[in-house]
Amino acid sequence: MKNHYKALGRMTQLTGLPLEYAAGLPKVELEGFTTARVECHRGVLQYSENIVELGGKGAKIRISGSGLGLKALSPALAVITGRISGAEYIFGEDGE
Amino acid sequence: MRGILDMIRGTARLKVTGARPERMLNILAREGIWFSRAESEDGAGISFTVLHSDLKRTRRLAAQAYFETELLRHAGLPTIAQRVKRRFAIYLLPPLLLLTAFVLSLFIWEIEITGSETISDAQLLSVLEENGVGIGTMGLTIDRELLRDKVIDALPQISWMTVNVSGCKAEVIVRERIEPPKTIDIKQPMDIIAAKTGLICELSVFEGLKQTDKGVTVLQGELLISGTMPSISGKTRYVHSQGIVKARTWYEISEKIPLEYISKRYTGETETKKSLLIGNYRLNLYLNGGISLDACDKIIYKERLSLPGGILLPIEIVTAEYREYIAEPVRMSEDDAAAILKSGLTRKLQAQTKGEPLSLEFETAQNGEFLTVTLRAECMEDIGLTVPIQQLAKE
Repeated sequence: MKNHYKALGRMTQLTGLPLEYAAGLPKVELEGFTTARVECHRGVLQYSENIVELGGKGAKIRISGSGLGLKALSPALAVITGRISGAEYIFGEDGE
Repeated sequence: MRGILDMIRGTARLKVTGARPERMLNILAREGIWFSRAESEDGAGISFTVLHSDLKRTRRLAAQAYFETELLRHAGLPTIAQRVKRRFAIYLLPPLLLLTAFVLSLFIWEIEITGSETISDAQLLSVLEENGVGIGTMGLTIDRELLRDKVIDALPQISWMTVNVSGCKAEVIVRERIEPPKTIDIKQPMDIIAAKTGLICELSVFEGLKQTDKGVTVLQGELLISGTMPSISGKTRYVHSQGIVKARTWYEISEKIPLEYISKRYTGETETKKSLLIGNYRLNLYLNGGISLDACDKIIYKERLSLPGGILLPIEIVTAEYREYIAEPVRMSEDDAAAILKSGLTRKLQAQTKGEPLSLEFETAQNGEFLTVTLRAECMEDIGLTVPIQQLAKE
């Protein structure tokens, strides 16, 4: 499965088309230091003031910081606000 | 804006506990239930706010996912409406207030007087009160024509009046009687005598017999133009003397003023007492009627309450402010004292003379604690005074 994602990445680089996005991979956008927008997520996995973890295809998305909160949550979009110090993908045991 | 909408729609704050409470947020997102202020409760649960209309559905969904829910608080209009649902008095209050406002508007709570110049407002209000029109009178019961006749009877200076009632305000419009000018009865025999002592400068006789001449000094009361005329037939003829007798007159007026006087110095200590004036009934909003201040001035402020739209209520907030002062002696400068006296003496002279002063002279003298100012003036004025012929009056 990992090879499948690698191939997708290569094709994206070659064609210049957003194929990863089209394949339903998560998209994370940071707006300044206070807002993070996550599209194509698969729900909230962990929720606290310091960490908000969202599920995604292929990896979990972890937003860390302080005073974090969910401003909006829909099946397609999650908007996290607060003092954001990091955003990372976690390819865990259940990562595809 | 969002807050106002939430207030109108109503919100409920819920706490959800169970295994992986974050799942509840996903459920809400999947079901399209709007939520806000999601907070983690130290791993034991999660709390969030949903709209009042989504509360039942949220609870049902939470139960289906094996979560326990706890309602933390309600807010907004639906909650308030639910609270007052069975308090019937609240439903009665608006119509009761409207009824009260309607009943109160039938009575007069303010009287405004226009057009009176010589008659005081207090005098007119007193007469109106005697005739049944005052604060608290029902506006519809006033018979304007009858009231006008009664007021004109009581106050002959009034020629016409009317009362316009608008809401709880009565406007009393008054027209005062214009007195006809005094006429001279030229058939009445009269002499002209000197009203003041002076030196005659101008003497013009239109009717009567001249008794003095220009350049002559006359004393007060001296006959200037006689109304008793000799006749060729031997019979005495009496006329109404007319003429102008202008003379130079002299005045000497003195006034004195103490240089030291008592003045108030305000200490800054104040006390206020409030009371409500409902119609003519006073309701004190304080328990102790005494004042702790030694010497004080009392200033009363009145504020009339009104409804939106300018409808006056028969309620006034009366605020009595007491300002403490200390009476202490103050010394006035001589210049200030002299200026006060000069102004007073000039006014006094103007009141005594009919003409313009030819010359004015002030003399200032200090006598101990008093300042004396003497005014010496020379004036030119008509000193003729028309009086009935003394001889005829004796007869």
